[in-house]
Amino acid sequence: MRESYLFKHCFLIAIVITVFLALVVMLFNKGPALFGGESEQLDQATQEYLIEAVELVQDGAEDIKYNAKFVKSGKEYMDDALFIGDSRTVGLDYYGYFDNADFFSNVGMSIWNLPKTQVQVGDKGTYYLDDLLAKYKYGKIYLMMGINELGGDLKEIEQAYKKLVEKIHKLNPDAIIFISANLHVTKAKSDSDQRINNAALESVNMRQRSIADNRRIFYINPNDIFDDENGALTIDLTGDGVHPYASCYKDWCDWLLTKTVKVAKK
Amino acid sequence: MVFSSIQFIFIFLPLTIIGLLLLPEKFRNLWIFVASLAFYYYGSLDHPEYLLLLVFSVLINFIFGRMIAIDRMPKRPLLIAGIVYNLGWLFVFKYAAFVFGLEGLVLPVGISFYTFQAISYLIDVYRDKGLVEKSIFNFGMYLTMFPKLMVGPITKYKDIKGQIFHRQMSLESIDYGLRTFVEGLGLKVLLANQIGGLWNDITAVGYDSISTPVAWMGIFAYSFQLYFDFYGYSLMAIGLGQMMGFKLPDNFDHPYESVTMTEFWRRWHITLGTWFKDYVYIPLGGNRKGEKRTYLNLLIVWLLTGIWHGAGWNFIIWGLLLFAIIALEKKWLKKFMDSHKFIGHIYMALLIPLSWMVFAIDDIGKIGVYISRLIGTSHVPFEIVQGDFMQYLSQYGVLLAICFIMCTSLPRRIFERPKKAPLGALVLLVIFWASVYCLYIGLNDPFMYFRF
Repeated sequence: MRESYLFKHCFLIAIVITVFLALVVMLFNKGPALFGGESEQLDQATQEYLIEAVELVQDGAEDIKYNAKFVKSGKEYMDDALFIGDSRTVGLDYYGYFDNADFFSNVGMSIWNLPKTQVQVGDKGTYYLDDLLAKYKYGKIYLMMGINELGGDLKEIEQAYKKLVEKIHKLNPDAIIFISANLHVTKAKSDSDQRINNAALESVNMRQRSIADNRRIFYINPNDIFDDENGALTIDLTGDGVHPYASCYKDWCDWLLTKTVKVAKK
Repeated sequence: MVFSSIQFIFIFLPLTIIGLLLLPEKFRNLWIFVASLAFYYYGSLDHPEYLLLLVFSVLINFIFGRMIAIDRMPKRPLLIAGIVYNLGWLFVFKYAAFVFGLEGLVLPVGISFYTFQAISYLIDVYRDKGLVEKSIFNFGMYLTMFPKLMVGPITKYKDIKGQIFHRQMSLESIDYGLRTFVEGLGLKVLLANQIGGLWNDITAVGYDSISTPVAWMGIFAYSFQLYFDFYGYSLMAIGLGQMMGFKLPDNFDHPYESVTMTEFWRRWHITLGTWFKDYVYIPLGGNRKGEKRTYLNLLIVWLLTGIWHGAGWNFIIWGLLLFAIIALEKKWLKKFMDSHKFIGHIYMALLIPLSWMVFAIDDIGKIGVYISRLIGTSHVPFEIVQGDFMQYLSQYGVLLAICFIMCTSLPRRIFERPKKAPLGALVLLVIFWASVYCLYIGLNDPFMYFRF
């Protein structure tokens, strides 16, 4: 009798016990705040982004410093190029026409998981970025990340970028480094998302721009080709509000070839 | 708040159930009513006024119901006024933007569902005044009951009435209901959410840049996503109902096993189909007024079904498409398919994803682009694209196969018996924690399905 009683309620009992155990484990680990609180933090982060973006826009006089002399090149410019980035760079790899370049990119790539990530780089094999750069010497290295970092501390992001650029420069001292602005998202996406919005992206972009020295490190801004009049990704060019359609990557490649620099070797 | 969220599973649900167990029976309906309003409030925090709309719906429909049940009142005008009130709000929120080109209002969660249940109540009382509900709390509980508030099942008042007063809630019903809930949770979190990535990818890439095999794979994946999402959610609702002693109607009966579109719509979103049948098709005369009227009635029902699903030209086209198919089947095809089941399955394997494609793509021009990719007539300018099929196959192949098997009635038949046994409990426990893990990961990284 007693046994059948247990059997009838065994699922309920199992759930209750395991939930209890999970709670105990979480309490001991002081697990992350599970319930709520998160959205408030996001709110605050967005606020900071907005303030920062406004300040940076007012600071526009600085722009002159970043106007490097770009020239137009042919596709062969990318023969010794490496592209590092997130899903948008993956798109460039799949749907662009730089089959002569290497790509160190995957979906979800951020400054934080980059050092721990192994990527299949063309037919060269699978590498961590450090190992790849130790083994191969590139003439140009393009960097475009930042959207997956949104929500985090801007100063930390900037510091991490600086360190990454320094490391790249150390491992590939002859490489020209292009820091690319993060593409904007559509206005609808930007207005409806507390974390992924254009104010936040612009804040990251401005921080990254400040790393450029216009001697070996250059800042380029592909938003010039995809933005609408609101400074947001044009709605007709994207299906999800974040990624340009595959058919846009050809234009992106064309544009990249107009933003090349020639630096005399030491 | 959705069922597949940490907050619902670990806070809302236990509190509601413990409250129900502690309260004496006569307060239980009130408790469910209050819990449902809280559930709705947290589900529409950005628009607290929508809670007011829901409360008004309860009040107005309760009053209309009482008035219709009074003998000397003009029943018919009252019924019409009540229906107009309910449909009026639905129109304002769902269709005004489409019809008048106004700036879109945010649709109140669940309005398409609770509006239909309110109308069902008024019509049922009109037909049989004995059904009228005397207690506003009981009526409020019926209309707002949280398991079915957001996406159904759409219950008819006459089917639930008995359960408002007599139902069995016990530890056993909680245990069994929880098992059903976890089945649904698994379908939603482990299947629908995961396979959903493929359609997201295709949308992001752009329909003009996918190969023909991927175009087909995409609409199959979308069909699976839609089914497991909705079926999972319906199962969760039924499970929650079982926990509290309710018997909510089944909403799905393995629809993808159908051999005709007619059969499919008897097995897909069953409660919506029977609603239209009982309150639109049969009152219009059904099939008893000659062939021409029958087809006209069908046309009306399918047009309404189309626009019930959303305001947009694609939904109108989708509804007309379903009408055309079902009319053709009525006239010729159905007999043939019913006796040639194998051909019927192939026929449906093409029609189901194709009809969902029209449902999914809200831009008529883009439907054209997608069709051109399906038949491979348009030129894809990227040689690289030719490799996309292998890439997506390696990424989603196994999941697609699992989805395919889970669409058949086989898993249900195998699991029927062990579901109540300790073995079933073990399987469901694994599904539960796997789902919770996925939800938890998604919590720390809200963009798990949307990493860039």
